[in-house]
Amino acid sequence: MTSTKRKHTTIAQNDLDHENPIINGKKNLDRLKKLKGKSKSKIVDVPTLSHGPGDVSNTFQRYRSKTRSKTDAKSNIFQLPDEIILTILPYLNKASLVAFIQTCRKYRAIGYHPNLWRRIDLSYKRIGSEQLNSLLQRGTVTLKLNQSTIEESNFTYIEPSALCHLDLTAAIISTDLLLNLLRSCTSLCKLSLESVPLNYKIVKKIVANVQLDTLNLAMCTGITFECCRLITNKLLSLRSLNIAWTELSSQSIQYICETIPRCIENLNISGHRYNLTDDCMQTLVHRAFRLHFLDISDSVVISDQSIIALRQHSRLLEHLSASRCYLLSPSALITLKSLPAFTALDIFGTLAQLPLQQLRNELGTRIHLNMFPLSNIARPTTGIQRTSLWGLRTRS
Amino acid sequence: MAGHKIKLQSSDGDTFDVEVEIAKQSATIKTMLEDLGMDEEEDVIPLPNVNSAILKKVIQWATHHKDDPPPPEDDENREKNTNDISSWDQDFLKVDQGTLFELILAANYLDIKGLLDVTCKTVANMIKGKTPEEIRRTFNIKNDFTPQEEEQIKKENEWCEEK
Repeated sequence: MTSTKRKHTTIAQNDLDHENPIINGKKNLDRLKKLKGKSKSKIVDVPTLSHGPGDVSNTFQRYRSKTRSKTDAKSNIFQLPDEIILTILPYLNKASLVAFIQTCRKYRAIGYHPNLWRRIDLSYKRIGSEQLNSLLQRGTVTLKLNQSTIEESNFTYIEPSALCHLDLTAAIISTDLLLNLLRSCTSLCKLSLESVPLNYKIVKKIVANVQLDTLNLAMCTGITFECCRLITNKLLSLRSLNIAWTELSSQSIQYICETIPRCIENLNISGHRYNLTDDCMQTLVHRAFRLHFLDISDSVVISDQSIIALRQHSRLLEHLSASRCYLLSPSALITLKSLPAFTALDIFGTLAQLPLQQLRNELGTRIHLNMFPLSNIARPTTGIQRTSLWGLRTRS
Repeated sequence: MAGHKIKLQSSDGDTFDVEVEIAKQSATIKTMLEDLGMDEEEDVIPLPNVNSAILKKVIQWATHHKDDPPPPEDDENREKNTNDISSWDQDFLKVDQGTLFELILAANYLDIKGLLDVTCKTVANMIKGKTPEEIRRTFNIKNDFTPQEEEQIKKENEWCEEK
């Protein structure tokens, strides 16, 4: 009896299934066809189903209501195992995720799984240190605090974090809180503190992350000679460094050029006006032979000698930005063409229209001239990828 | 080999003849066929975790999607979008919650990534934009927090609120 009922269900459901007639063995096929028409006329054509005995559609209806109550009893989101909930939750934005976490204890436990909090974008938002600590304890690895305001709350001690990529570009944060936050970080690979005031203590915390490969300190203040010593002596894996417009002393610049980690590939040392000299450049190119991308813009005493040094020693150079280096001549710049990997030269503000066009013609099609007005060396967010952090998506 | 069929048996004993290529969207069945060298003509593959009604739906889905390219691998850098459910899938998933959850369980057990993705997205869409209370009502979840605990979660996550 039960088996008959089951077959009826299969058949009745086939009703709705025009694309995929499933054949349950040859025997059932004829019955199926016969009953299909019958049940169809009963169910589809008659708005209110009759409940008379012996009616096939009625059998179906009774069975359906039985299954329904059966599934309804089971129809609970709790029947889904945790790993499936964890497959669903990444589709939620953080606001909806938090709403879900607030429903019950079970989902709070699942909802704080580290996978869901790995990449967080708090740009332009306001967050207290207590909340920040709570977030970091969920295992955030990539955190964007671009122009965020971070406030001290309840004198929270920020516990050790798993942060690898931290963007504090133009963040509003007190020195004490910044120290507190950086103290929690020992596994940073990429860090941006662009436009944030620094001091020796802060730099000491930065260099505790010896594996750091990318450091953006553009427009930071407070970087002393001692800070520079820490940076070049401790961060031996540094491949990208941006120290543009940091008001470094000539002694500091000289020191950095002498001691920069040999693995450096991308360096922005622009904006140092009279402090970056041809001598510094000589020292730098002898040491940093892996340079791919160099920005020396706004160095007003750099001469053609530096270009000659680059051409001789920086065989891997791809991109040079030397905007507003007024002493450079087109005849020296054109020689960069002989570097095998060289593809881009930026010299904004140095040449008039005509000599610029001549230079463009001589450089040929391989080398882009004045394509990139802004440097992106070590900077976390560049171009149109506003929601990414060093190429990692962070939008919630 | 097109048109070759195998038999799938549901938990309640019904067998379904399905084209091999359609059935192979299930990584579980694909592995069984390839690794265990099952004879396609003779053997019946028992699926003790899937009942007839759900297996039927799964086969219906797999038949419709038999020519789809394999779903992309999960990548943290790809946006998790829930607005890209095809209209056919949307209609297909206009089912009660119980059926939806059973489809998820079946897709998980049979390892059909495309079906698992689309059913999980559907559940995500049922959560999105709702307040905790609305979510509880939607899924019949009982609130077992103390008011203090609730307040605590709220406070910890204030920054998440959409502004």
